[in-house]
Amino acid sequence: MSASFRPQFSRRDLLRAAGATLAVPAFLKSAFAAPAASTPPPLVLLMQTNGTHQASFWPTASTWDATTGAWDSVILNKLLTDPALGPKTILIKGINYQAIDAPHGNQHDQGFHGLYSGFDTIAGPGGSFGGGISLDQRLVREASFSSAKLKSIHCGVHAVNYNAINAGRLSFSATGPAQQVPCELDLYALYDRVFGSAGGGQDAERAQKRLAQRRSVLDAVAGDLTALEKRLGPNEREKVDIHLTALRDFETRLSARTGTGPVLAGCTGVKPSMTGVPTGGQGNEANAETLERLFMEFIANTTACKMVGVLSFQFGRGGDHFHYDWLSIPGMPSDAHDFVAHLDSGDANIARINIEIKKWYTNVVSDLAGRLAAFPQGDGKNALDTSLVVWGNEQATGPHDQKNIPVALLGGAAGRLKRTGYLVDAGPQPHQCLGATLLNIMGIAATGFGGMPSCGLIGGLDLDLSA
Amino acid sequence: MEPRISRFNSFSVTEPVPHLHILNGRSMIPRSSLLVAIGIVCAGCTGKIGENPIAPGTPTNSGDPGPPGAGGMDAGVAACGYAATRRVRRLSQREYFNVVSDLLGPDAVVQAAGMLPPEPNIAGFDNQDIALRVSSAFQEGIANVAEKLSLAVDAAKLAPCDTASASAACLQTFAEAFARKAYGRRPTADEVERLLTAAATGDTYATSVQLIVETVLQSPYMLYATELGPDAPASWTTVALTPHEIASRLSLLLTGARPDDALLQAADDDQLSLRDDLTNAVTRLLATPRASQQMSLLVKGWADLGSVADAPKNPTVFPEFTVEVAAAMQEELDAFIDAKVNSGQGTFVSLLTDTSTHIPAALAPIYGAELTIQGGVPQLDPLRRRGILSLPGWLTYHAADQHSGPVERGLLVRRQLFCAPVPPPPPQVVEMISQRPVDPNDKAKTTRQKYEEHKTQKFCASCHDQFDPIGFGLEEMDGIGRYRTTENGLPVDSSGALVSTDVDGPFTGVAQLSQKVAESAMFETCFVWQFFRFAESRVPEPSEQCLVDAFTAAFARSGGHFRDLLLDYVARPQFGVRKEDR
Repeated sequence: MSASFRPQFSRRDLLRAAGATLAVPAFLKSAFAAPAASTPPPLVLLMQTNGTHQASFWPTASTWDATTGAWDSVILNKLLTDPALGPKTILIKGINYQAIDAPHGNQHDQGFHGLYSGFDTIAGPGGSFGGGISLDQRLVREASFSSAKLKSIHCGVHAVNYNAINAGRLSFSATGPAQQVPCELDLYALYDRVFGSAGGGQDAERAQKRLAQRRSVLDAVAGDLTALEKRLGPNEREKVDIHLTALRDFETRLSARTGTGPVLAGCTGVKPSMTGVPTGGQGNEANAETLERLFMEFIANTTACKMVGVLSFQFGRGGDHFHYDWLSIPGMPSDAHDFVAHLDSGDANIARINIEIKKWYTNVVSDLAGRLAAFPQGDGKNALDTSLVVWGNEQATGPHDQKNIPVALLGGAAGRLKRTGYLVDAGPQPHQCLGATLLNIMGIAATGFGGMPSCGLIGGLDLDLSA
Repeated sequence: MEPRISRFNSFSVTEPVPHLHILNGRSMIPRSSLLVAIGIVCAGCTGKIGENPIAPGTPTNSGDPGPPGAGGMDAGVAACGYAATRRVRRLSQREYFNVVSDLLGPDAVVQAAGMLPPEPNIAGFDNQDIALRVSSAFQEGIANVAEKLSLAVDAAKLAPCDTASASAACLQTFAEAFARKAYGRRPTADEVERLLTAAATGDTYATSVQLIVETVLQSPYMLYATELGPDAPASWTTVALTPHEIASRLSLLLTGARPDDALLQAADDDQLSLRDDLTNAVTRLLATPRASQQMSLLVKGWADLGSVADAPKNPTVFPEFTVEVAAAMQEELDAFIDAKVNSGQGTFVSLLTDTSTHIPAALAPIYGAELTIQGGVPQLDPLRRRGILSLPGWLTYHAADQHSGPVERGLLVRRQLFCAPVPPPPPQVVEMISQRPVDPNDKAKTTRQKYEEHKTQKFCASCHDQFDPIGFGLEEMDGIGRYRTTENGLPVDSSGALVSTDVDGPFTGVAQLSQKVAESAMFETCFVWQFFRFAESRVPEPSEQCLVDAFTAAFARSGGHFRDLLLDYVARPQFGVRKEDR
């Protein structure tokens, strides 16, 4: 890294830093990414909910290394003992949820919105919402995704509460305070969008024309909004300001969706392995297991084909209430959330059930990683080597504990993770350090993340940010 | 000929507000005093009450003579502290799609189903300003709706044009007419120009028509109801709204949509400034199917009712709650509300005191032996079942997924029917519940016995004593509204009590609770307060309590008829004005 390097701060970082008393330590500066010289690796952000069973998640040895010993995590066993996946995995211990001020809602809300945004939750209509832009949306604005067809997709499988209480938990992706980006559920529509018209030629031309028309429509709407705003008092003007911001954000995302990056051979017309699975339905989780598997396949396809810059996925809504009927766990109570996650604080039977549930998530994530590892990418690398999957959780434990949030990194991030296959345990670190680290891996020099402008990067990671 | 808007003050609220009055022999207690008393009691619940929605009015009179031609109107409004300034409110999704249906037909609404993100009801109502912001998710959804529906437009049918050479003129004519219907007023020249600019990117007439539709469907003038008045600073403290804004206020209240052709024409002709004009408009609109739906929404919002089928029920505990039974519950509930509201001719008390008569056959397993047939007509015992609270649809919706939910039911009655604020549980409750969960699978106790734990914990009892006893009094009805005398082999105790109300005292069962509530003056004021929320899309300001009191008094004098409440509301001076805030 050049000695004359100056970190690139976002305007938000600078504004926040201006109010902070902490200067960025010199030793941290040298750790930040150089201005993005090459395309960042495809990034996948996974959000699991309701924490984990701590004692069964972390390997016993605090300095475990894939080259020197066997993983002994009960929950992660399938992932870590896989010879293709274990050595590509990094576990990060010690990440604690760190409130900036007084976040709204409870720990479900705070972790769900906070882990990948770094901001405190704020009150919104019908629940708690993210207090600022989330990582995926920030990357849409700042990362160099020139070779991806789409800059971002936020998707998931979720069961909706019947009367929309906790509306904020429907999606953790946000373009700003309480500016929720919808979680896309329609797997088949996503396939159409990503792989449907990837051939270029006339389709691309038509897409560009349509984009121009939509922009002209949005310009007219913005003109109406601006005219209306001039007639309002300060309180009402704020509503229109929010509307205008949402409009401009949408225009940005619209443009991002119709990117014209190169499409790899074999990456057109890709289809899901199963069709006709219903993707909607309030409170309907009958298809959840099948859909989550299909989504892993979709994520693997898009990532291996480098179609999307950052793809975020949520396993259900924040604080999900899945009953996991498909697991047929003996003794499973009727309400998985309340009776398993919340009560997992010593009862052996509850722990047994909870562990079975968490092991299923490991299977699903291993499925994704295995699919990526099976995609060759040239130079002896596979799609797991050239991408990065972050597997996070809204909480540390079911009973709402927020210390030691389970986080795993899978993949080599195209060389930006110089070494993989080990456990990082650098002591307690605010969760904002994870976001700052990911920003740097994605080529954005940042000293902090969200509401914490100077938290620095995760200690103990072996990074090569110039790769 | 009657004078114009200035004559509104013939209904002036400056006349003494009868704080003491009698309706159906109920107590003569000032409403606002009663509601404040509840707030005080509940404040003791935790010692930290968030927001008391009801506060005593503080009548003021600015002495401002009012706008030209307004006579004494301004004094009347100011005296009662009408608080609305320049306002814009986003239409709810329901209202928006009503307008879409009027513009493009009902099939368009079907095409757009599920494309917008879910939005919360605020205490029963979907039209509350505070919840209706344009988030990124909403913006994306509405843009996609506009795109999808516009691409499906058949320009030849929606905007027929005789000659290709006249397409520019046709486009302008179409843009003006389409926007007028969508905005509830004629678009300005600038607005039309913006529409035509967007249309210019289309390479055919049909595409240009579609682009105009796409733009209008997401224009703020389609999305928002405005109450701004003329576009110029006023020198008075109140400003008359434009006739078209009054028309939209009327139509959104009574039909949940933009004005129909007749109302738009009346606004164009400035024929909405007389009391008789408005009375006639209300009478006409109340006879429409949309008005019936709207009145039903008012009642359902007041009772905080959504779709019965959406109520989560554990199929193992309640295998009888089938799709057919849920639909039958909904049918009975809808029919009951429609009959009691009766296009505005009904009374709100009948909602609590009448017994259901429209009972679908599929409810036989729910009513069981309660149901008798007399003269071929199904009958229920009014001593056990009376009022909306006794309907299986209400009892099912307001219950837990595995049991009767006495806490939920008690809270609902306290919050919605008595307008008594109850603070959310403090954070440590999560931990307490984790440590001492109520186990629905525990068959050794009744539901009531499980929740009576609250009484033994002083920390819990301080709040739960306000509403648990109400829910306990409904324990005779299980989680899907079936009458029962035992639960888990143990006798059910349905003795309940109302506290901190004007009808305090013990009761047993839902019929007795309904009768007590119906006799409550607090309930009456609360109903009008909820109506104000529905009509204004916001909680009344403290300074507007006098308005709520005035509505309540007039409502009581009318015998509690919905129609009279509506007429009184639109005929009062505040309906056609706003406060100047520049």
